[in-house]
Amino acid sequence: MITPRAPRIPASLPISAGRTFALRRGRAQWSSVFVGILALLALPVVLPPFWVHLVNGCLIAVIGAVALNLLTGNARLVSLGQAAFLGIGAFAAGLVQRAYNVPFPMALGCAALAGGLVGYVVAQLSLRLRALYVAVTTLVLHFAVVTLFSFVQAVFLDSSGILLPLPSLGVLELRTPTQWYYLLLAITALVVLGALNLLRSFIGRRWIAVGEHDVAAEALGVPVKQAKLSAFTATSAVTALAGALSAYYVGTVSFESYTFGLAIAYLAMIIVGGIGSVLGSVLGAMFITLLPYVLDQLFLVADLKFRPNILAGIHQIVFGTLIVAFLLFEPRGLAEIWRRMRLSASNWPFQYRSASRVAR
Amino acid sequence: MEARASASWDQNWGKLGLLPLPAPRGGERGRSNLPPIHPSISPDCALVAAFALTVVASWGIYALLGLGIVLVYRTSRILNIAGGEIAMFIGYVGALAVADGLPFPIAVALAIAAAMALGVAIFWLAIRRVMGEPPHVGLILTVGIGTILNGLMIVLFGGGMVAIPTGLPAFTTIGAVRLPTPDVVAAVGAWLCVAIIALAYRLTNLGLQMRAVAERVMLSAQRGLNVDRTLALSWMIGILAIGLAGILHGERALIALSASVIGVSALIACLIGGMDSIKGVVLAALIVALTENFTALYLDPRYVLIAPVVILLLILIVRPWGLFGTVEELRRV
Repeated sequence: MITPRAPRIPASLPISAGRTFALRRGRAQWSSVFVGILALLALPVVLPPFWVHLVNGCLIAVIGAVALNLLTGNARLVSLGQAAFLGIGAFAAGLVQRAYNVPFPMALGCAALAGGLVGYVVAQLSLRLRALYVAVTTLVLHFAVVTLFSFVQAVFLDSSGILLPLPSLGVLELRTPTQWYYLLLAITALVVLGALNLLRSFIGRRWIAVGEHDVAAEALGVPVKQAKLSAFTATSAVTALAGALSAYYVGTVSFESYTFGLAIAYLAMIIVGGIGSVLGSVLGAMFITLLPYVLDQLFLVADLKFRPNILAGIHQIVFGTLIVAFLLFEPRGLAEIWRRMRLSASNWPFQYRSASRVAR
Repeated sequence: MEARASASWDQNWGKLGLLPLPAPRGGERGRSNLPPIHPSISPDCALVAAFALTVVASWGIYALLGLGIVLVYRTSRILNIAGGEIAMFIGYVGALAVADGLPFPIAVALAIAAAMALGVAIFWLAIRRVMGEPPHVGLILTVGIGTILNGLMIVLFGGGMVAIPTGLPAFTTIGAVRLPTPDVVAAVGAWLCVAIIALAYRLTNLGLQMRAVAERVMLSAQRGLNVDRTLALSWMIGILAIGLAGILHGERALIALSASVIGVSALIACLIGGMDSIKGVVLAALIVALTENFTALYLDPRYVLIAPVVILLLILIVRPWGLFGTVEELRRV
């Protein structure tokens, strides 16, 4: 009879809390971080302007997707009002800019404030409700907000909405995609790092606990009401910030941009990327933002010509299919695929690691 | 200025979501499409009759659509958010059949068959695999299904505005009042369907099985019920109700991509009435229809969509489980 040997406990188990929760460990990981930063900084030098423009779109989407993923993936409050919050940010920034001609950073701040306020009110309403009802409340919020914006635009503004001036940071005016890229990269890096740190801190862990099971969380002493309120408020503020950024980037604010399709696109980002994972939000945002362009290029290569109307329909079918397929077959999304690929690459040529090496 | 000059990122998103502002509907008819007034009747009376008929027709359509959502929610605990898209998809099938020269009843029969097939397909291909998962999974799944259907409507049917004409004369004379036939057909058809489905749910064996599964899945499986088959049947009937609502809406107004907001109105009705109550959804559909039509009549047709939202918010504050919903349904924190 073979008696299974007890796995040896490795000597180098991470013991200190700092080491356990560290985002990066060891020299190899830190050097890969440095290489990554250098590559990101060099990106606009290497890429043609149109590609930089696409990357900028990705970065804005990453900000929104990270926020939505914290709310929907971690706190498990399904929000279908992402487009509404993006619109709230854009309209807040645009209206403040139009009325008082405030500087760009201040307009961004106002947008975040407005988003946070609306998020707080919605959270107060949806606190009384279960997950499904939260989703429907935000769905209804979407249509209410868009109707309100169409009213504001029709009565107080021009038919094309608000035209925003070129934003400037102190002396520097943001003109080219490259200049925008560095600003967006900085903000995105802040948001991503913030999200990673939040999930390691007590606030994020409360959100996760409430998302997993609110009654159990309450029994364990987690202030559920406070957690839900803070989750909704904070993520709405960040989403509104993303909306204001994209409005400045495009140069106009108009209610027509904030369709329900946009909300679904953001939902697709976090599902395709990976629910509850920051890396997943980044991957999913890039995937979904670039997908229409990749599809168009594929059709171009295959020499298929569609009317733009039909093309939009095809994009929708692909989006919907991706949402359904990832939910059914890979619920943890691209982040899980990436993790598996990395694991199998680092274990190669073996199937799995021995227990003693896992901890390192 | 390069960023401004190149094709904008946001416009591309705009192209994706083809859900523009809701077209004015409902009460607009009450104002502009009024039937010519019969000489023997005072104008006010004819106006009131036409308006009442409009309310009854949209009430019936919302009740039918909401019934489809509630039936499915009761058995499978999945909130079907794609109701509007499904209704429009089936409506397009009916419109296509009529446009191909088929008479109205045969077109409706075809659309009914399509709706049943769609319901079973949605259940067997997607919903069955997420039964027992946390509720948000099923919800997002229906969002994905709605997106696919929306895209299919554009690719297969062109996504334009189409009507489903019945071929009947434009006006029906009842007593001394002339009423628009489409509204009469919609009202009668919707209420007939609601009555048949609700009675079948209450009286037939199949309805009993569905209620058993809704009550306690494990026990009904132990009693020898084929749970999967019952769930598939309930999805079939639910989608059938939604599809019928779509056809009747197309017969009365128009089938269009943007008209899938009737799904939102029906969802609001479900929430006001309580997600698991048939009685509640029928009553709440009346509230929604009245609110919408009065808003369109006295305020502005553009605010038709947000008026019921106000009522929903009030209800959510006072009775978050809805007018007739089961109280234990809600796990309050």
